[in-house]
Amino acid sequence: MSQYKKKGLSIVMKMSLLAGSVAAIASLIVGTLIVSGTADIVYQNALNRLRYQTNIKSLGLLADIKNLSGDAQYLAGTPPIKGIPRAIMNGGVDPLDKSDLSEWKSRLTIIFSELIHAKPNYIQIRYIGVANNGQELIRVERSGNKIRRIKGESLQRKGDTTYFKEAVKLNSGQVYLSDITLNREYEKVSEPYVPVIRAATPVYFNDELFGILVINMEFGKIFDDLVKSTPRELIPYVTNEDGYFLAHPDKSYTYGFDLGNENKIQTIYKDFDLKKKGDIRDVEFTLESTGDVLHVVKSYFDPSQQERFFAVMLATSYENLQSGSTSLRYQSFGIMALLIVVSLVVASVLASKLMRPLQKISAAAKDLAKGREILELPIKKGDEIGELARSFEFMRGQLKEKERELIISQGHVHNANKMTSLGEMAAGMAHEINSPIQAISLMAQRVQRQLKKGMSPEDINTSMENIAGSVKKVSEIIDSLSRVSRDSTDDEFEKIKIGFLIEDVLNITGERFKVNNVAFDVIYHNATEDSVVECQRLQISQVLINLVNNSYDAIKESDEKWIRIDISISSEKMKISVTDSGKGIPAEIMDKIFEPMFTTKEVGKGTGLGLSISRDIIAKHSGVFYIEDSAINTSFVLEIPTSRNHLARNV
Amino acid sequence: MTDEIKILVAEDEEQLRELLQIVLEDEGYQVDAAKDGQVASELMMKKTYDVLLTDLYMPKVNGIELIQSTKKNFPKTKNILVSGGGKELVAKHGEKSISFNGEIISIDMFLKKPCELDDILEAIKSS
Repeated sequence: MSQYKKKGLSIVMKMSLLAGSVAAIASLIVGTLIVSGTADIVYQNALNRLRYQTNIKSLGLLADIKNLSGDAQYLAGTPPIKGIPRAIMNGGVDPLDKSDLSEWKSRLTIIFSELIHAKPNYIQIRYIGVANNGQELIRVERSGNKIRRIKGESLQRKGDTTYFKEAVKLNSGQVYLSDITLNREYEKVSEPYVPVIRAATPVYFNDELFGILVINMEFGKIFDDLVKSTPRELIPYVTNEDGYFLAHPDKSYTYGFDLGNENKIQTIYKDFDLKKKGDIRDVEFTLESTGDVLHVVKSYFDPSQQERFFAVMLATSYENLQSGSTSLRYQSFGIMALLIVVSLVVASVLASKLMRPLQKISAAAKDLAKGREILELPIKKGDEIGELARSFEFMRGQLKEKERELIISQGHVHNANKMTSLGEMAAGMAHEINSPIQAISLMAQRVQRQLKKGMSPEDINTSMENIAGSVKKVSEIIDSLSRVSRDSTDDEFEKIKIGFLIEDVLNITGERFKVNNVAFDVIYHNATEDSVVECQRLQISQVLINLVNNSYDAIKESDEKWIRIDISISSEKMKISVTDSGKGIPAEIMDKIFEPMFTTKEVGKGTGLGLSISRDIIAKHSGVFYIEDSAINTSFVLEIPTSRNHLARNV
Repeated sequence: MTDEIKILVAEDEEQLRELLQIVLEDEGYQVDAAKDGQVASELMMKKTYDVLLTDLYMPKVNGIELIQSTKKNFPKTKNILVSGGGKELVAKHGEKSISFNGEIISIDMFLKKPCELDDILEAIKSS
């Protein structure tokens, strides 16, 4: 049985693996379906998020600009705006409240200063008159941390600026919003670079254009915030209508139109025509080579000139758009792995629970085989296991019955077996007896003849002694025969010489070997034929005769034919081994060889009881009976204690 | 009186071998004895025998093999087989044809063991 132990998986393992595989396949299928089914949705979601982000950013910028525009309208409504022209028109003093021009200018300066103070992005507020080609009247600006009013010669004429020209075209209440450009002083870009938008609204006095109000709002911080607040996986850009960058994660790419370089959105997205689709607010552009997507929101910021816009853009990589489904896939795989592990655990727990009764039955079978008392079996269970247990119980009952029958019949078979061996040996024995009888016959006839010739009494005596010797030999052989044919199971243990045992063997089998040319040797190691052992003589003889006969049967057809008995003795035990020229017992029958009814011989040639009975006999002698498997040739060994007393003492 | 007749006895049983030698010598024959077929073959190479008296079952070379080699190499030597019989042997006392292992072999005389001394002597004389 033991040779099967290492092979194959246990049922528990098999069931667990099966459950695991089923779970794996099921979750793989479900997972794949879910992932492939949702991949598109996930991609669309990612796109929608991109669109949403772009719109939010655009709205933020437009809100800032709308506030700026509102502030310009509000400032235009404050009293000093009308007070100043009134004072100018009336010779320097406002006839309404007697304030002179400088008082109105001071008041307006305070209002401008407060507003700049309140709005961190406002860097300059001016009141410009249309007279004298756009002479600045009031100019308040942020300079570092301070807010100061520019006076006198530092006030410039702004009649040629775009915002001046555009603002004067407008009606009261309308606001012109400039493009976002780098701040310039005296026609030159001033450093540090400050992106600026200007809101300009006309001021009418007595239905005549008097001047314009201009707020410069810095966009640097707003763009910085826009870049900073953009999620890492998205790339933010703000461009003007031509595609020049107003905001870019790398500032060195911005304001190419002011600084004299050609860094535009079109350098990244080559075929992207920003103006072409001018009538559509949301534009999406996909880079075919990589799958990267650029979402563009054209932000129409000037209500007075509705075709003007700047573009807020967010770009994202294809991988990023897919990352949702990628992580979904990872999640699915994670859940799948978890499912497999869980189902493995559950299956192994269930399987081992299921298998426990089976293992119990298996253990019971082993116990039964070894003749031990067996544990209670789950015969009351209603399922297949209960059925198996009941079958097992039934088998056990039948087995017991058969065992009883076997014990009864064994005696008969034993005798039958002995008779078969006897029959086989009879020819050899007859032959062996023939020689001494021939000798007796010849001797007797010789005496008769010699007597006629006058034989001496000494001669007659010698011949008679020879005859007596031969007769004794014959009777010894007959003794051996009658001994082995007797049931010696209950014989007394007696102290006998080993030589007698060997003689029994030789008397019964010796002639056969001679006849069939089998070399037969008896070798005494540390022992002589006079060494004594306490045993049931005939039982041990029978074991040896059985072994020797087995050897004979095994080798009689081989080229090399020999049988050897080795005997050694110590103070405690006697060891006899019977070795023959055979090549050992095949491993596959090694375990079975001592079982009753096992035989390799042809039907009718052996009962299969020999070795089993031999083992029982040796066991009764408190000895051991085994196959010397380290030997090259077939070698059976029996060891029995030399003395029963000795045994009793030890026990 | 029978000075010229030389007999070779091949018998593995020592007691019987010696006895045969003695009784035949008593009758005045010149007798050599061999304990098995091989020794017998060796002796025949050295000396010419008139009669071979052989047992069947002997170690090394058995009686049948010995008889067959004798018939081949020393055709003038008479052969007498003395045996108690066995599984392989089918033969009747006093006959000249036997069957061994199913093979028919003709010999000069088969004597069934145990046999009378007179039978042996007669077999020798008739040769």
